[in-house]
Parts: sequence; C-alpha cells; structure tokens
Amino acid sequence: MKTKIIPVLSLLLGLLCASCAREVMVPADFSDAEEPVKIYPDYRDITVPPNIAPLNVMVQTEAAEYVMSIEGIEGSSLVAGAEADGKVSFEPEAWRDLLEQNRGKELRFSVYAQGKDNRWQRYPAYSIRVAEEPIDSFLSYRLLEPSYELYRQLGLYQRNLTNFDVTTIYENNRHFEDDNNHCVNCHNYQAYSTENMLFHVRAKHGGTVFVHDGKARKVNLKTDSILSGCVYPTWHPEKPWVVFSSNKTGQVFHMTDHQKVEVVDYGSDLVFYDVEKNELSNILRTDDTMETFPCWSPDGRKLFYCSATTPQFAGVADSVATNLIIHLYDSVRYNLMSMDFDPATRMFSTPKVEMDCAARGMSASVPRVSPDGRYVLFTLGSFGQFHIWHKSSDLYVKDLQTDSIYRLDRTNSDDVDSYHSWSSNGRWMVFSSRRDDGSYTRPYIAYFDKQGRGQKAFLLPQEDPEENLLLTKSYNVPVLTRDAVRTTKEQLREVIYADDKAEKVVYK
Amino acid sequence: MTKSVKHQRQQAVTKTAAPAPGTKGAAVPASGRMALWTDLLAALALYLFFTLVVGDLLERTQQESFVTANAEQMSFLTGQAGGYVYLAGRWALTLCKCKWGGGLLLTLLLVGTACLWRKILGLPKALKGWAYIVPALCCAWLVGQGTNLYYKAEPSMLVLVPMGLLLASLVVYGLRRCLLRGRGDRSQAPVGRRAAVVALLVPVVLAGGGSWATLRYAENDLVAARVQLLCERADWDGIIRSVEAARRPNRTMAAFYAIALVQDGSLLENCYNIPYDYPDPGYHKCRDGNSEYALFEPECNFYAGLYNSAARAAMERYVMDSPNIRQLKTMTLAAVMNEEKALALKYLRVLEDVPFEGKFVEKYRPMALNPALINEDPTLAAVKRLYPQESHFEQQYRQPAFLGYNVGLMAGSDQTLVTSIAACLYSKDLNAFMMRAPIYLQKHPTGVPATVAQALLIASLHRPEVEQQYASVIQPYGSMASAFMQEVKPLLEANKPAQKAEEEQLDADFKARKQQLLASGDTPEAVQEKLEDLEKEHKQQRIDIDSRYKRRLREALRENWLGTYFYYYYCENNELSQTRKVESAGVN
Repeated sequence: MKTKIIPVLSLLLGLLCASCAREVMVPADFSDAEEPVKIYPDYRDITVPPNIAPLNVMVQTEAAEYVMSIEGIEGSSLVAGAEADGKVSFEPEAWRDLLEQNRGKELRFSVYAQGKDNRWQRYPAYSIRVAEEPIDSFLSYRLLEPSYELYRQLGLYQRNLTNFDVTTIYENNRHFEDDNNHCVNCHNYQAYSTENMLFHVRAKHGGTVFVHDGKARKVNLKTDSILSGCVYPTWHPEKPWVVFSSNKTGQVFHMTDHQKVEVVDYGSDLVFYDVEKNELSNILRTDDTMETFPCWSPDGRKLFYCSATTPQFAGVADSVATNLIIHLYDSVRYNLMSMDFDPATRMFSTPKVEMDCAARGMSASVPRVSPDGRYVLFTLGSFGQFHIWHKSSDLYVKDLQTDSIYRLDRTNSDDVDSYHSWSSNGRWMVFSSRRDDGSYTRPYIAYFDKQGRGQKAFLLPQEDPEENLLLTKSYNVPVLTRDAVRTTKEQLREVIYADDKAEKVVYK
Repeated sequence: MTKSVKHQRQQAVTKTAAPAPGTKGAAVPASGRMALWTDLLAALALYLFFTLVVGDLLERTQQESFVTANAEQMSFLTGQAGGYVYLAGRWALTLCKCKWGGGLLLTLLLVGTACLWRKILGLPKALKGWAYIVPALCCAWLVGQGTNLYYKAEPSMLVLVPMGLLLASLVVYGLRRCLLRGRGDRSQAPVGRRAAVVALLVPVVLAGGGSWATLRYAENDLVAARVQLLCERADWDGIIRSVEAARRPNRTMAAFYAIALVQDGSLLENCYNIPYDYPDPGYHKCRDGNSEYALFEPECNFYAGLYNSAARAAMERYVMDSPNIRQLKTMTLAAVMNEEKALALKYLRVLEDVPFEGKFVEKYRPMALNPALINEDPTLAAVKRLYPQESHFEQQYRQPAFLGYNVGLMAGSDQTLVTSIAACLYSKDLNAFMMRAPIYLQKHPTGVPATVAQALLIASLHRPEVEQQYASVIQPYGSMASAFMQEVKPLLEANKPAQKAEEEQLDADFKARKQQLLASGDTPEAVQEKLEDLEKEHKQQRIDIDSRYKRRLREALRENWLGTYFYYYYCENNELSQTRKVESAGVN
C-alpha cells in the first residue's frame, strides 16, 4: 500500500508544480518603445567576467509582466520573466553556459513589458561584453552600518562571485555585550591567497589575528616604541612580513556637509612586522611627516605609500594635535611615494615621490599595484587620506612604465570611489562606491583592459536584485582572493576571545 | 455516559446545590452566566487599561520594532538564538501600531489565560474573577517595565510575555488534566452570592487599582511614550499639555516639551513652566553613559535643524539597538531635509515593506522627490529655518549637539537666536547669553519674555553695567527678585550648616575608614582596589548629600517660584549626578 502512495503523491506534486511554473516566452506580438527601459542595477554597456553570477535585475519601468531575453552568438540565448515587481532572475546554470559560450563576445539584452492593456512593448536593447578573463572567485568584505562610533553585529564576510553564496569569516556579537564588544577591520591577504591573512580586533579582545600556514593566532602589536597601534596592512607577496602604518586617528562629524564624517590622522609612520619571529620595527619614524597606506609591489622589492608633510604637528602634544587637525584637515595633502626594498638586508631606500599630489592641490590615498607591477591604482581627492568619505575621491592610475597618470573616467562616478583592489590576473578591479545613494558603499567591479583603461563599473550582482537597495549596511574594503578562507569563524572566535593566549610583539 | 446525560446531571447538581460551608448568602444559580459576565467585565476592564491607560506605551514600543517579510532583512533577528520567536512576536506586535488593535490582542491573550487559570486552580465558575490575578501580574510586569519595554530591549517581549503566559498556562492545564483526570473539578460547585459578587469585582478592582497605580507611579513612562508619538503627529499642544500636567517630568519629556515650544513659537515664554528636577528614570544602562539621551537626541538634533547630527545619532541607535522604525524615520527625515534624494528614497523603500508605515512613506516620498514641498509642511519648514549657517564639526561644540550648537553658534537666523538664547539660559551660561541678549533686545524692543528679563537681572548681579544698560527691562522684575531672595536666604542659611556638618562627618568617616584600610595588612593590590571602591563610595555619598539639600530647597520654593528663571537658575538642573558621560568606541 505504502509503495503505491508515494509515486501517486509524487505525481500529484509534480503536476501541481508543473501547473504553477509558467514557461517564459518572448512575446510574438509587440510594439517597439522609444524610451530605454529603467533597470536596477544599471548593467548596460558593461564588461563582465565569464564566471560571474547571474546579473539579476529589477525592471523599474512600470508594467504587469516582463520578459527579458539575452542573445549571444550562434543562436545561444536565455529568457527569463518577471511579475509586476520586475525582478528578473536568470537560471544559474543556463547563465553560466551562456557566458561560457560567449567569452570575448557581446550579449544583447532585450526587455519586453506587458502593460495593463495586455499589449507588449519591446524596449531598446542594450549590450554587455563578456571578457575572456575570469575574476577571482571570492570577494571578502566587511559589512557595517555607515555609523561612526559604535558597533554591534559587524563582521567580515566572503561572497562567492560565481554564485550567490555568502559565508561569514567572522562576526562579532549579535547582541550588545559590554564585556565582549569589539570591532574587526583591515582584513588583508598575502598575494590573493587566504593561506596567510590578518585582520584587527579593536576594543574588547583587541589585537591582530594572523592566519599563517593554516594556524590562527592573536598578537598584541602595541608597543611604546612605535607611534601608535598598527593599522593599514600590506603582506609581502612572498615572505611572512607585513608592513603596517601606525596611525593616530580621530574623527569629527560635519554639521552641514553631506560628506558627514572626516577621519583625520594627526600622526602616522610605517612599521615592519615579521610574522614568524613576532618582531616589530619602525621603517619611518618621522615627526613632521605622516606616512600611511603602504602597499608592496608584486615582486616584493618596492613599497608604495602615501605621505603628507605636516611640520605643524612636530613635537606637539596629542591634545594640541587633535585640536589643530580640526582646523587644518582640508589643507593636509598626501603625495604618492615609494621606497625600494632589499629582501636580503630588509633595508628600505630613501623615499621617492611618485606623484606630487600636493603641488596639484590633490591628495593621494590607498595605492594598490597591479599584479604585473605596471600600474599603481590609487584614489585622489581634494585633501586628507580617508577618501571613503570624500565625494571628490576618484580612481587614478599611474603607469609605471610611461610615468603617465590618468583618471579612470569610465569607471569613476560623481560620488565616492575608493578602497579598490585588483584581481590576481590584473584584469578586474573591485572598489567601494557611494554612487548609489551617497551614503551606503557598495562593491563595484570594473574591467581593466590591456591598454590600461578602466571600463564602466557594475554593482555586485545579488540573487534578489533589490537587496542592494534594501540593505542598510555598507560593504567595506572589498578584496578579491582566489580561494575561500579556510579558518572557520568558530576557530577565529576562539582565538579572539582567548586574551590570555595573545602573543605580545617584540620590538626590535 | 453520553454527553447529554452528563450535562443533565450537572444541571441537576447545580439546581439542588445548597450554600457551601463558609459561604454567606444564597447560592448562585447560574454560575456559567456569572463566569461569562466576569469575562466580559474583565475583558472590558483590560481593554480600557491597554488602550486608555497604557496605550501610548504599546504604540511607542511598536515604533521601536522593525519587521518585514523579507527574510534577508530580518536575518539580524533570526540569526540570534530564539530569533524566530522574536520574529513571530514582532509580527504580533505590529497590531500595537494602533493601541485599539494591540489592546485587543493583549486583552484576548489575558482573558484566555484567566480562563485556563480558573481551570488550573479548580475554581467554581462563579469565582472566576479570582483567576484574573494572573493576568493582573502580567499587567504589573508590563507597567513595571515601562520605558524599558522598548528601550534597549527586544520590543516583541511586550506580546511574547503574555503569549508565553498563555502557552505556559495551557501546558499547566494540560498537565493538570492528565494528572487529575477530572478529579478536583469544582467548576459547578455552589458559591455564595456574596463570594460570587466579590469575585466578579476582582477584575474590576484590579483594573481600576492597577490603572490608578499606573497613572500615579508610571506617569513618566506613559507621558514620555505619548510625547514621542505626538511629536510624529506634530501635535505640539498635546505635548505641551501632557508635560505640563506631569508631576516631575523626566529628561525625555523635557526634551520633547522644548521641541514643542520651538514649534509653537513660545520657547522663551514658557520653557520654565515645568520643573527641571529630573528623576532617575531607571532605564537600561548601556555603554553611552547617561542612558536617557538616546531616547530624544536624534529628534532633538533634528528639530534643532541639525540634520547630520540627527542622522548620526539615529544611526548610532540603529546600530546598537538593531534596525527600528523610529530611527529609520528620523534618518529618512534627515535625508529629506538634506535633499539627499537617493538616500531618502532608499529609507522610504525599506519602510514601505514595514506593515502600517505606508502613511509615512506617502507623506514624505513627494518631498524626497521634490524638496520644494518641504516649505509647504509647517513643521519641516520651521525646522529648515533653524538650519546652521556656520559649517563646523559637531566636536567644535559641546555635546549634545542640539544644545552645544545653540550655545556655541556665532551666526544664525532670527529663529536660531531664540533657540540659542534658550540653550544659553538652560545651560546657565550667562556669558554666552549676554552675547546674544543685545541682538535679541534690538530685534524685540517690546514684549521681552520674562525669562530673558530675569536672566538679565541675574547677570546684572555680576555685571553692574547690565543693570544700567537694560534698566527698563530689568526694573519690573526687581521686586520679584527681592522677594525670591528673601525666601531663599533663610532656607540657605538653615541648610548650609546642616549640610556642612553632614559633609564633615562623612569626610571624617572616610578618613577613618581609609586609615583602617591602609593598616589592614592586605596586599598592596587589594588595598588599592578597596581604596578605589571607598573613594567611589565617598564621592557618591557627597553627591547624595548635595542632591538632598538642593532638593529640599527646590521643594520649598517650587510652589511660589516655578515658572521663573530665578527658580531655575538657583534651584534646578544643578545636581552633580545630572552631568552626562559619553563613552565613544572609536573610528570604525
């Protein structure tokens, strides 16, 4: 008896599902609309990696029903439909096949909308180009509200860019707990691999978590011999060395400016940390110059960073400096700098100015060298270094072969574009942008072609295209890696909470 | 035995029942009807309690919640232990958007609970009223929580506790049924008429007494909730009336009172009509020191024209207390006023998915799209007139921003001149006040508010030139000031030696205990730790003494002098315990 019931039930269930699922077909009878269709996110005229997750969109032009068709070469196509909410979701496997078939070619998107009068309209088609080169599969980022002082339920997460899977690398407390309240920031990886990584823990259980050779440990990098705590990191591409900036940082809140926050440094140096020996030493300890945002070149023989000359702060007490910076903040400008490095002796050369930004009334921040060592991607803003809150912030490139410096016009927006990183093949850039609403940062991906030009950036695709609109958290410091983080969040929590096991750094 | 036969037998028993031993009066013939009347009466009493007495608390709690059908958006809640229970609670809480709906839900839950407890206790139906003691305890819990129902707390507990109580009652009832199997059922037992009447009155008395106690002892919780709701409705008269009627308003009420007076245009004239003698609110403590501020700082910043500061304060609470409707609305309004169209539309989109928030979205979406419409809204237009004319950082003013900015601003509109003078007077910063007073008097040569004139008079005590310069303004208040001083002087003279003696005795005790500790032979670390505790205790005791004498002075003068700036300046808002401590966590 039992054996008969199951197939019958299955058949009924199958019939039910089949009756619910509607086959989406391109309407045969339609008229052509003149106005372009409104879609969110704006995925027109972009270049996408062949391994990217489906670019699901929300059609915002009002209609009762929608059909979206994608046409590639040799008859390859994909069709998806949407109800009145306009959310078009592509079948992942079909999407993957379509992109794979069309590597290096264009895909043509057509949108059909059925009005209340039951008539279909076809909107002008748009295209996207599928690049030959894939993007690294994993994107790490921090999610937090664009708040300024307090934190709760804040974490580091990792998105698989080939689908919509998100895993938590580490998240602090979901409930506020005074004794355990902590912030995590500045996640950083060695050479696009998660084999060696680090991030800082601030406030309670403070320290820096290093994952080295698969083992996680927490180190207290504070010592009186360096300026302040260790902040912005860069792993040496081959050796177990990390250069940090050590910053004295404060923040002030604009009463009227839409930029809202000004994060200001009133002192910063560069320090060198040997992960294996747990030794820390100063690289540049200067009173009248602030050095920050270090970044190794891919061969590990050069260190790029940003530096501002601030003689006003020399020998000044912190209490005075914090007051001083409030009045000087918009006149502090950072130049793009570099120093040669000899791995054998661990010695740095005298600093060289890569771009005299101050002379141009600009200020550089976050240099990132392309994996082939040819380009330095950095942000330029009007002043300061925390460009993630500066609307003037744009992405620039310095071609180290030709010494030319130029703005990535097609990639930038009118709002903040910063905290960028490269893919391991150098063809993709991912960065934080406030272009959507001026407040919440979202990860944007852009193709960087062989001629050194940045293409139009596109928003990180989500399964529900509206998620980027509804989420009230910012994506912070997006970083690409080839592989997923292997240390579990539980292992990291154990290390973070074990304050008694934190190693104390040795100053040398 | 068939059901009908059993029913007949029960009826027969009821008809022939004699008065139970110990009961007076005749037996109650229709106990079922009595139980029904009890339930109806209790339901009515509970419903009136939940709507007319604590209704504002329900609506206010709902505004501190956030719930949508989008699983991703609710993951902040469902990712917690018991998150889905809270989620269910939040959906039920949406009924409290309107107190009549929330009141009905809570009433039904508690009537159901009482029905179960009658059965659990095996009470005769006619005595059902006694079972309402259990719901009354739940109501007492709700009132006891007061503002803590929604402040730094999971708001769904408001409905989860009564729901949990009903569920627990059901379980107990089930267990009882299993264990006793029908034994001990006294539902039809005879009950004396008097006992039945007393039982009938139990829920009425509980509701009446409870309501009186709530209005008396939880007045501030109720009014604080009400004024925040009235603020959203721009019912400024309602706020003013509610706060002025309160016996001892707390800081939250005073803050919304000030907002209402600014909107009403009578800030300088009426701001001292309430006592500024803030009680300890007993709210949940959190990392931000004086915990009350989060209840009004975003709104105060907003209505002071400081949109960025409002958004910042709201965002901090959004982070710490998790997403909630109230802060989303403040952030939306700040974005609308800042003409941050995309941001405002984003927040409105989020709110659109929250049940019953369509009206808010409908009202402000056109303004987000077309900022010119702001000028057509009297409230927002008034707020706009207070927008800062100087572009500084919040840190360049004292905190909180709405007060510090108004005390510190050096350039502003006619409207900010009024708020600025009010802030200086509230802060008792007469130097800053004297920088603004000449401009104000020049613009308002006649009809100078009494508070301004009285403040000038106080300032003239230290600056004789003020008296000469503003003689015509000050003179009418000269006799009033003398009368005030005459009343104050003997009180001060009486209090001073007593306070001094108490403080000296305290200091002597402290010294002796310190000596004792140093000679105790404990380890230096232990001594140090105990010393720190002792010093802390001593400091607190000095504050307590100071507060006590100041309170005595206040109480003695209140009747005659409340409403004058003299009284405020010398007697109010001057306790050492009322200073604010803020702890920040640093750059994110």
